[in-house]
Amino acid sequence: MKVILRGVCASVCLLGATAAKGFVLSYPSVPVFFSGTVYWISNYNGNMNVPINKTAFTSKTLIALLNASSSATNDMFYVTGTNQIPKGSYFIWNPYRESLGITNKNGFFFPLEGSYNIATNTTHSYDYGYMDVDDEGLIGTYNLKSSNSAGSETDVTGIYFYFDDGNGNYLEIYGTATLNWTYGPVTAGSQETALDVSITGTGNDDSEWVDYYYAVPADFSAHGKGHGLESSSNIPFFYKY
Amino acid sequence: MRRKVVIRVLAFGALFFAGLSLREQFLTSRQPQANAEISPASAPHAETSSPSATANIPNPAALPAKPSPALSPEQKQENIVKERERLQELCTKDDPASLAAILDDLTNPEKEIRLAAIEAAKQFGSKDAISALEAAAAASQDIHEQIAFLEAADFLSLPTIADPEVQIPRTPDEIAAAQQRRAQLAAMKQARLQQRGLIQNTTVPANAPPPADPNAAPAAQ
Repeated sequence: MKVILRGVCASVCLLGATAAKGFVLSYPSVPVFFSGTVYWISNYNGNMNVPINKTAFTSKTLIALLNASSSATNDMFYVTGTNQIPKGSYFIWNPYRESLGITNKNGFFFPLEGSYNIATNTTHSYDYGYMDVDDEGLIGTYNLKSSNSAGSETDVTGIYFYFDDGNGNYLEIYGTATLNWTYGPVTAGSQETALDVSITGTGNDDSEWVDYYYAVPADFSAHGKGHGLESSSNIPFFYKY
Repeated sequence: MRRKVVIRVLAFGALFFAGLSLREQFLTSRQPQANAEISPASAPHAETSSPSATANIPNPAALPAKPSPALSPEQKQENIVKERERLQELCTKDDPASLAAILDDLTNPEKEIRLAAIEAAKQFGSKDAISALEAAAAASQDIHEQIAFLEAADFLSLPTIADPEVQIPRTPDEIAAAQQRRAQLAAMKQARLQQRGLIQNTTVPANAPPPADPNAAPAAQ
């Protein structure tokens, strides 16, 4: 159900993107910056003395991988009108839709999963990444003032990060996220909200690749902050999600 | 008799003119002081020309800086939030000035900003930050921050996943072979899981009681 819902939401976002190129998802999509290390080995023949390599990745290097992938740049062109993610771009994460996108200050936006029509009755789907939140393993505590509903919330949940550049680099990593929410007073059913995201992880799903070679993620982290207007009906997140 | 009168007149005249001269000198010497008293605005200039007077004017550089008004906890937190957002933006750039601004915050008085600067340095991705991180680690008194600085320096020293030495272009045959290997491994894994499921469904625990005999007579009450 979650996969279908994510697909529907991504398609809706995509419609927004193609209808008005340069559309940028607003809050609750928050900027998020990834980093981590991966072990990998350039051998699958059982040869002796092949070293185990360790490489690092960040948001910038993941974006560089997408820009070097003919599959990703082709989809990017259909969706955004350009086949290169501009410099200065960064990932944004919508914890409600569990979707990832890439945007910048000048209106560029590329959702990492979606679909588009390439011909009559022919739809092409793509999926380069997302970040899931556990449905049941989502716990939190919160406190809101009775006078104006201003307050704060802290949630802890499991996350699953998926990234595939379509060019031999594939990461599936499990981690733990701490979401710190700060809510302003309620006004007309909405509250100014700030979200501070902090994620760490090491678990993987037994199928990672670096340049088509087997890989094992060593560590993973993601951090970011964002703010915007949140509907009071979605507060607290851990309970209303 | 006449001689005496002449001498007296001449003496009196000399005294008279001497007195006039003295009076003139007296009046002239008082004028500068009179001017200084009349125009106090010119007094500082007169005083600065005098060595003893300069010692009385405080040197602005020597004065203790006026303490800046203390920030409320809310204002302090707002400043921290703004600086974190600035670092978040700087780390997406790739120019030297942005890196310099990030490295500057490695020694910010606020710990939250120092930690944000460490993350921003990692995200910026330049090996030029390594020496600054190591220097900040050496200067820090906080063991946890020292570890964070050094871990960031180690991180930046690694090759990245997007480096040309890592991302060697593959031929279509190599790609097909890799995808086939993955499909075979996935199939083997699936078979193992299914086999494990079958074994779990039929395995009897070692200390389990023997199954009841359906033909045995019911126990007496």
